[in-house]
Amino acid sequence: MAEKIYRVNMTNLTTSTEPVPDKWLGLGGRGLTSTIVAEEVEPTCHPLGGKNKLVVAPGLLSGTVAANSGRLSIGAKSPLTGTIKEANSGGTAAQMLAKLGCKALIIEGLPKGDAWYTLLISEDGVTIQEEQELVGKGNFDVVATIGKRTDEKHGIITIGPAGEMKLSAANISIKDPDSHLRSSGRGGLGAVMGSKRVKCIIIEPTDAKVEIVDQEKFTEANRAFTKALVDNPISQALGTYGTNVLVNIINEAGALPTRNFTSGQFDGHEEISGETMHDTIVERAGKPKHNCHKGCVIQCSQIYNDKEKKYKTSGFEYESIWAMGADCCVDNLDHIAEADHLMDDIGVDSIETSVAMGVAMEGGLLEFGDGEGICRILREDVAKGTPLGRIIGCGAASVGRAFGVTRVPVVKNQAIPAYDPRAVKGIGITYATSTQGADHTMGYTIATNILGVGGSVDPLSHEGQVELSRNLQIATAAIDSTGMCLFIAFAALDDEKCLPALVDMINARFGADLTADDVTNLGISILKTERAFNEAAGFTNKDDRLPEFFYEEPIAPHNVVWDIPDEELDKFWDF
Amino acid sequence: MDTVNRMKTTPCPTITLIPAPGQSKRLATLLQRGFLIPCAEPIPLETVLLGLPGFTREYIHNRIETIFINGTAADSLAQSVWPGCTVALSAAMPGLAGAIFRKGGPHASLRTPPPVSLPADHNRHEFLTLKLFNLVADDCVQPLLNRGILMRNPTLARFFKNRADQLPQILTAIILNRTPIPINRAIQLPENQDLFLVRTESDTADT
Ligand code: SF4
Repeated sequence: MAEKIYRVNMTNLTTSTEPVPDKWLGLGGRGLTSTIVAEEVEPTCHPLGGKNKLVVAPGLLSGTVAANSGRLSIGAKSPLTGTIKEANSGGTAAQMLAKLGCKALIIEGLPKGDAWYTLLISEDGVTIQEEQELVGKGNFDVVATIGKRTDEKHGIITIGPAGEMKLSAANISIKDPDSHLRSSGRGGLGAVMGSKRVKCIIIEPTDAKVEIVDQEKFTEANRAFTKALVDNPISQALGTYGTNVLVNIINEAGALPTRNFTSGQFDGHEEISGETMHDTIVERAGKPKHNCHKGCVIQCSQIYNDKEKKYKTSGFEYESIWAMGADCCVDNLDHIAEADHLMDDIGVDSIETSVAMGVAMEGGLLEFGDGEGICRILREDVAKGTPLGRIIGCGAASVGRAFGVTRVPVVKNQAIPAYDPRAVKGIGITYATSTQGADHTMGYTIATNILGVGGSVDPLSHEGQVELSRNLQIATAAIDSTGMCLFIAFAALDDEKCLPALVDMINARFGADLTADDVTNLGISILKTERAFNEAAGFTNKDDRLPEFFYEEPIAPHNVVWDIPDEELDKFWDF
Repeated sequence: MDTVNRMKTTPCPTITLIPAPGQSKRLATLLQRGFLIPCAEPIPLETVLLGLPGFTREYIHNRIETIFINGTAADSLAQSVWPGCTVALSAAMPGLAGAIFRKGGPHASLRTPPPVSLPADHNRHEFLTLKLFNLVADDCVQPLLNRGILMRNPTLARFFKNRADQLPQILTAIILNRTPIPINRAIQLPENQDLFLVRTESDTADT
């Protein structure tokens, strides 16, 4: 099916289908969402006003049978950070949109009245329907209700009560193959969807297929690519323990932020580790290995059951477990799983909200370690939108201001995740300089040497560290455009056939002749586009800094502070 | 470095765990908080590991991708360890952090480098602590427990407490020297004993 741009104007409740402009043809995923936001959104606009746009785009390879290619990018100006934002997620939506020929869905304007709407995307285009039944419902109820209204095969992109309340930590949820949820978590994009009064987007299944120019070449490249993923030892660890395998390692390194970033080690790490989680899942007849979309061969997700062996949560990630666990000192996986389930249902980012809870605990709201108290506040305050719930649902910085706490771990207002930058300086550089606020996925471990962006200065110097962080961010931006899950990066690092096979698949899909250099240039262009948007929105290099306490408070056990000089950070953008 | 032989000169009670059929791998999490290895002087890590059951040269070079010595990532198995230090071993790990900490990894330059140094008081200690994580623990738990590992009382007690729900599925018996200990929510270890030799009964049906 030929690719199109679907545009929805919520001001006058009209829809249109447009041909894809030539300049957008080679873009997908983050490359496309950021390009459209940069071209069409006024950088200084209010993120929840009529001038912001929500852009949804599958990746370049989404909808094909390429392994791990079903990630969906969603972009807008972020109400949390004020910067440009892209958040991506698994689930079935990316593959379904791509098969319908949807290159991007752009939602713009604001409706005048109080009504809520559902968008239905099908082979005939987009239709807008007034929605009553789903309003106020949690995400799990939305998925179940739509399942009864249509059938289980429809794709769903939805917001929970947090998005309806336009809380800055609101996420957007995507239905996965088991009718559970995956989240485009960071940056409060759920609030942008809520501001446009779109409760959910329903995608009709189709038998149409994504066009592939050279099927034989594509199949061959996908075979090599899949083999590289399956053979990689990290895939085995991910498929056994999930990303939560990192708890013990990061704790051992003294980089597991604990008790609102006051220590780098958590005494209860064993109780929340991936190894312990694996045994708990097996004992309760859950699934230690599970995929967030069809075609994933790594399967880092899992299904975590409660003590009665009933479903509690899935996609139970290291960063969420760290945030509710070590950062809030909760050493009970069941409490963390319950909180994760509640946050998925309410539709708030499990990193931002949990870090906000840690700040609130320092402010005296609860004792550290009170997992039941956290669940109670999520249920009774955040879900219901009490004043306290709204403060927490607007993120860590919001809580810091309300409670007078100065130890607030955010960059550009977004909570720092899971790896203390004092103990792993290189990740701190990425938190500081990312175009989207603190985000561990912005500079991933891509094979920079293969992409021709290996370092040229002493890697042990601050300058060399900044250069490497930059190169990782360039490579990540490019991968985020393909629809590929970032976990392909490990295979790309170890197996020299992996990245070339990925480029071959893109070439075979579009009949193109890209090289690794083109991929790098795409990454550079995305970063520069995002940076230009932020500068036009008023951001400067002074925003590329970590909070003051990281410079002043040594973190145990290594007793190190953040000491990368500002002038070195400023060199990040010298390219 | 044979733990059992050293035990002849360091007598301590033996805890024998009898796993239910097919369950002995579920004791792997016993290794994540660490067990003790007698150590009298600084010695290369590789030498220590080669003295343990299940650790062949090929295995330790291929499987062990992440090494911490006292919390600092190490790049070589030839690096020295010493009495009183803590060593943690893991397979290759995901994420940028996983790549940064990986042995000889391409992103090692992004680490914060605190110095690894031999503390002056190292000869006050008799043991080093070895923690095994994830796939390494899973691979090695059976041979290690078949031979026996030394564990401190609080570490073992914490394991029993935290696994109280799972132990009845995993174990058919726990025996302290020759006396069975009831498998229930409050497994009691003798308070006056700091060290135990923990072993499983060899279970050929379970390998
Ligand atoms: S590896 Fe994990 S995040 Fe990536 S596609 Fe598979 S299940 Fe989803």
